[in-house]
Amino acid sequence: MVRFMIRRLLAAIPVLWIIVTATFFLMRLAPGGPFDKERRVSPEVEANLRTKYCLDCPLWQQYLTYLGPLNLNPGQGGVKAFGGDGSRPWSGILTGDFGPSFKYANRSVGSIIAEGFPVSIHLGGMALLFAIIMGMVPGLVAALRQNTAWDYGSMSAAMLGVSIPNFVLGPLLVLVFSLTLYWLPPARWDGPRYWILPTITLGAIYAAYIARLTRGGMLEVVRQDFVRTARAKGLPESLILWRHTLRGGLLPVISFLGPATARLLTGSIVVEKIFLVPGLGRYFIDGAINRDYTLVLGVVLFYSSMLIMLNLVVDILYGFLDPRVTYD
Amino acid sequence: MKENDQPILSVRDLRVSFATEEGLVRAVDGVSFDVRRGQILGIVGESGSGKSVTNLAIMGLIPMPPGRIDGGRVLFCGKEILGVPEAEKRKLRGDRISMIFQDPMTSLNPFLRISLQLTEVLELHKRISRKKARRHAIAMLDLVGIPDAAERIDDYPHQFSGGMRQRVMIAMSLLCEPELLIADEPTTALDVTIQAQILELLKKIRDELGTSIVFITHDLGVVAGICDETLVMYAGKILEKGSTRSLFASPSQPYTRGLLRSVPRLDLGRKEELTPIRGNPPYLLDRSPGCPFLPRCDFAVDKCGEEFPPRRQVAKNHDVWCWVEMEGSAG
Repeated sequence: MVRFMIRRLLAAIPVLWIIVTATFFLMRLAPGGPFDKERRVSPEVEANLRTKYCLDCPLWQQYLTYLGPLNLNPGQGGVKAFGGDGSRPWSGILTGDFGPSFKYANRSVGSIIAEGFPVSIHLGGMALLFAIIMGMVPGLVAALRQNTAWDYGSMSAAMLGVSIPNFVLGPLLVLVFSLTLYWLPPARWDGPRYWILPTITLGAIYAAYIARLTRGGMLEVVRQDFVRTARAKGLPESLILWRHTLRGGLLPVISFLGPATARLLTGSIVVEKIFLVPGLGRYFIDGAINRDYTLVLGVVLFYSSMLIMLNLVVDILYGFLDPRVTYD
Repeated sequence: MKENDQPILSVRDLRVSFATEEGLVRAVDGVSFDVRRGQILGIVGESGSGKSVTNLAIMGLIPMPPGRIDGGRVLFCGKEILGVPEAEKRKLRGDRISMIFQDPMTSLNPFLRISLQLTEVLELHKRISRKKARRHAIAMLDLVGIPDAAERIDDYPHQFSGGMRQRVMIAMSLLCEPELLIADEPTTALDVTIQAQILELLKKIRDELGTSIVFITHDLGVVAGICDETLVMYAGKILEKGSTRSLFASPSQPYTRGLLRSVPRLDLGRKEELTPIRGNPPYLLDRSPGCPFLPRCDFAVDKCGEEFPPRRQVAKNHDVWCWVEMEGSAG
């Protein structure tokens, strides 16, 4: 098990390297730069900025500096553009430094992530909870009451939930609950009342998926021979459900929950934008628009690491649920 | 009638049907038989003959809907168990009547240790502590021939071979020392050497524990080896019933003869060819009033299509349902 985890973590390193490299060069391929603005700055100022952030160096030097092995001008106080203070022979992400933001002056990418991520994880966590409860309960009931009105009703609702993208659902909820009924605030993140609409908007589609997966998984398992065996043993239906069918029936949900959790915790970008939630997603979009190279790279790297970690957690969890899975 | 002479199980005119998209399928159509104490009764038939459904009905495990019990009685130790409430039936299942199934690969829960799957039966029916149940379970695994039972009890089903899993299933069904064990093709999924071991085990259980066994199979060789009495079922009806010896010596129904002629036998010459029964298995949807085997029968007379024959005794403890009186042996 420990060896499995170590191997998986080691395997993550090349993956992250490829992601960083691809993102780095793709960002540079995009037209424009961090200092292009509607309001023109004088050529001298722009030249100074470019020197300060080392954008006039050859691209490969910038890349190596960001990555770490190359530290530009270590003797002269270094170039802080991509992290490192010049005192060490290397710099960049190898030292855990994501560098300064190009757009938000005097702020490091690390501090932006540290500020935005707790909000994102709060929103994502609540959406996850919402999705699990609103998905599993109706899904279970639908499976146990197959072909009843409840089954058809909840599955139609789930179908609808899967089909409506959150950038449609969000404004729709705002229109109904904020602008028409005046029940809930339409935006911002100032207290529990503000949390409700973003949580539902973010979690709805996942709830719908989970409902369908739960129902499908349970129906698959209750058909199995070992459930008939459990009945033949005289076990009451409640015990058959809890002990014999639930675990197998929820396996598809668990494997879905891994990537889904990663996307929920990190992927609330659109929802944060709609509801003006000060999470990481907003910085991600702004970073991309502003060509804030270091910010985008930092957030991408952070998201990727989260995704890899959560997938690992799911694989380990899977092993606990299904004894046939071994780690070799 | 002495207490001991009372059959452990009496089935009378049992009728079970299933609603399908094409119509009502009569899976079991007026089946009656008795199982005496300490007896091994074989039920033989091809797929769809109703042998499994008969026993699921006895266990109360017919999924309803689409299944439906249309009539009949099932007496266990003289007590009706067909129409009783589910909660009462649950008390019988796994305790006084237990069942083992065809495929040991899928009949055990792959997610749970066998220790839990074994002890839960005892905890439920005998209300004993898990620790005591565990000791009992280990002893039972030992009895059915699982080596190192004390260590293996905490393994998962996938860590056992097919034959060992069937032994675990058998141990599980015997934990509460049931009076009746229903074995639904317990050896079909196993290879021949393992099959022989399992049959020996079942015989031993009958001899040592006095358990009555209903043995469902499509394998006549197995029947000959283990069963005291045999029922031959076809399309939900019993066509022949008798002591295994008499039935194999003088099969009196064309279907039984056909079955026996289609199995290889050591005591016949090498040149002897196997004769399959012509035609296809019965179509259960359109039912003529006559004998269901009629379309495939070589001996049919006019009457066969008009009315299902009444019981006719051909020897002591050997009944047949056929209009035609056959002569000679199966040959």
